[in-house]
Amino acid sequence: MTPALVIGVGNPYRRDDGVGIAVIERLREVGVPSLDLVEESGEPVALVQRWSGRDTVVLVDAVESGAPAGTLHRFECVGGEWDVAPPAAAVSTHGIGVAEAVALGDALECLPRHLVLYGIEVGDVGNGVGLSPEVAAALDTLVDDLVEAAR
Amino acid sequence: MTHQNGNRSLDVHSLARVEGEGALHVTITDGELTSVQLNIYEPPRFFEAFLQGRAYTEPPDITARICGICPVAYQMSACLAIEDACGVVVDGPLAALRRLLYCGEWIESHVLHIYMLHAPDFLGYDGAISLARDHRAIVERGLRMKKLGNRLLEVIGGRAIHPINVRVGGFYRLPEQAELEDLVPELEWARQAALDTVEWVAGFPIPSYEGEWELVALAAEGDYPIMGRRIGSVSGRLAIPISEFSDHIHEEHVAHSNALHGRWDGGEYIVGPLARYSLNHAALPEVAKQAAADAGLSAECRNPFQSIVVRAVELVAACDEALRLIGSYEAPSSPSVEVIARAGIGHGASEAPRGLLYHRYEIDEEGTIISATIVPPTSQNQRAIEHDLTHVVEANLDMDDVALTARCEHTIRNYDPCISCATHFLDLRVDRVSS
Repeated sequence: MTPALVIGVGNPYRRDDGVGIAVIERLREVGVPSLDLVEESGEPVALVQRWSGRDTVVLVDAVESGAPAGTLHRFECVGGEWDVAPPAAAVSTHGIGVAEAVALGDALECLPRHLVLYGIEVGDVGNGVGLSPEVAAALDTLVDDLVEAAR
Repeated sequence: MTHQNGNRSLDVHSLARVEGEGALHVTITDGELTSVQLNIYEPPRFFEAFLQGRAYTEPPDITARICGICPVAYQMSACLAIEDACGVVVDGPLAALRRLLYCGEWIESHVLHIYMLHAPDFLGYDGAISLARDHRAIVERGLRMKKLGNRLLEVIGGRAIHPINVRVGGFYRLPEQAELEDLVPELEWARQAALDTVEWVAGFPIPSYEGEWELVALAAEGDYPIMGRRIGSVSGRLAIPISEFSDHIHEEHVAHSNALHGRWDGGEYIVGPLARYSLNHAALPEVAKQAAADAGLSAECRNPFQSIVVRAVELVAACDEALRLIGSYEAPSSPSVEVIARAGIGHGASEAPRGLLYHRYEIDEEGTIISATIVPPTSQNQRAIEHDLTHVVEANLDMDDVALTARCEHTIRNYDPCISCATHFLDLRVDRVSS
């Protein structure tokens, strides 16, 4: 079976915005052979090209929706249909990036068959490095879930 | 859109894209333009402080994070500046390999801007997605070229975003000759696709406008400049070594923006493809020069709306140059040259896809960074963009707010500012006020 691809999106120099990248780093430390791991900046074309031809893709990004910091959002898209449509521009701190990437992938008929979007609600996206405690805790939970699901 | 008390205000909200945030506020009072204020968030300010106290080997990796689209530009300007401070010149095959890596970034960035961000402005689409629905084959051609740019970054830089194989003095690991040669067939396809791109964009309806600013770029010392030691201008009034950059180009605070605006002591200026092309037309590879002529470009171009054509010409040049560099590739004897820290000040400059990017570092004898200065192209262009916007708004006051907003965004996108990573990147407000 082709390994699932996990894409982490974010900028580690904008604190909680870097949580998607931190998830990838943690998964690398844990070592999960059945997952391919990659970082992206969130630029939509790069995302489309990254997931093109893949069957299962998990995308982890920072989001800002007004929920408490550390809240974990999950959206699933199978065969181009969302279970719950992610609120377009309001969601991701790379909102246009990910939302546009999905729309562009749809227009070019190159969405993965199964796309899961995890959004971790940010607290602080000021300049700097390091995650807020709530976001760091959400990262632990998500990594555990991803490792569990991959086994 | 809201209508209140006879005043109209229009807001285009969209994203808080973290690598670049921008806002434009246009005020029209009694039918006359009274204010244009562009405010672009600028990450380098943070990075300049962040770099203080770090080791001299760290700037290539740290500054690569400033922009998700042009990490190589930041890495190269950083390496050149640190090496300059340490009295080292990296030349020969290692410099050629750096240039090849940089070609990959030009290809990737120019394709992204031409196809996904700028073309929709000319063709009346609200963005790349609707363009892709109607012109799928063309967009796929662009995506294939962009993928090749990514591939160059992966082969030489180690990965496509924030390349990890770049270090002060050269690289950690050299690519295999075969890895480079494998890229040749796709590069040959891409060179032709780039020529087709020039033809495509040359047919776009291009608004007429002549900018009155000076055109500033690295000056060719042989090949079309990507990394270089001298800065020149089209009028000839600026001709300096890069070490004198700060003597002539000053960054100043303006009230409405938390970004610094670059100001040349000789007046307004722009950096980027128009400047590069107009200053260095003679140094373009023949195939690119011919493409420019076929597209109707003269040797000097002052219309920022034509920048899309110039970018396409540079795309031809980058593909051609990559082929030439691979054809003449000789593996360097070592992946890097040794760079030993010494106390000093160094300057580095390179042509990011969107224009001249200058770095300056002061380091102590241990190699600890005492100060860092990073002047990105977008901050240098900000003043000229405001100038263009003033002209464009004044010439189009009769447009409704939706059309005027679109034309303003188009005007900003002419400069491919870092904030244009997204299609609708701005918090843009047009206020029409009655006094």
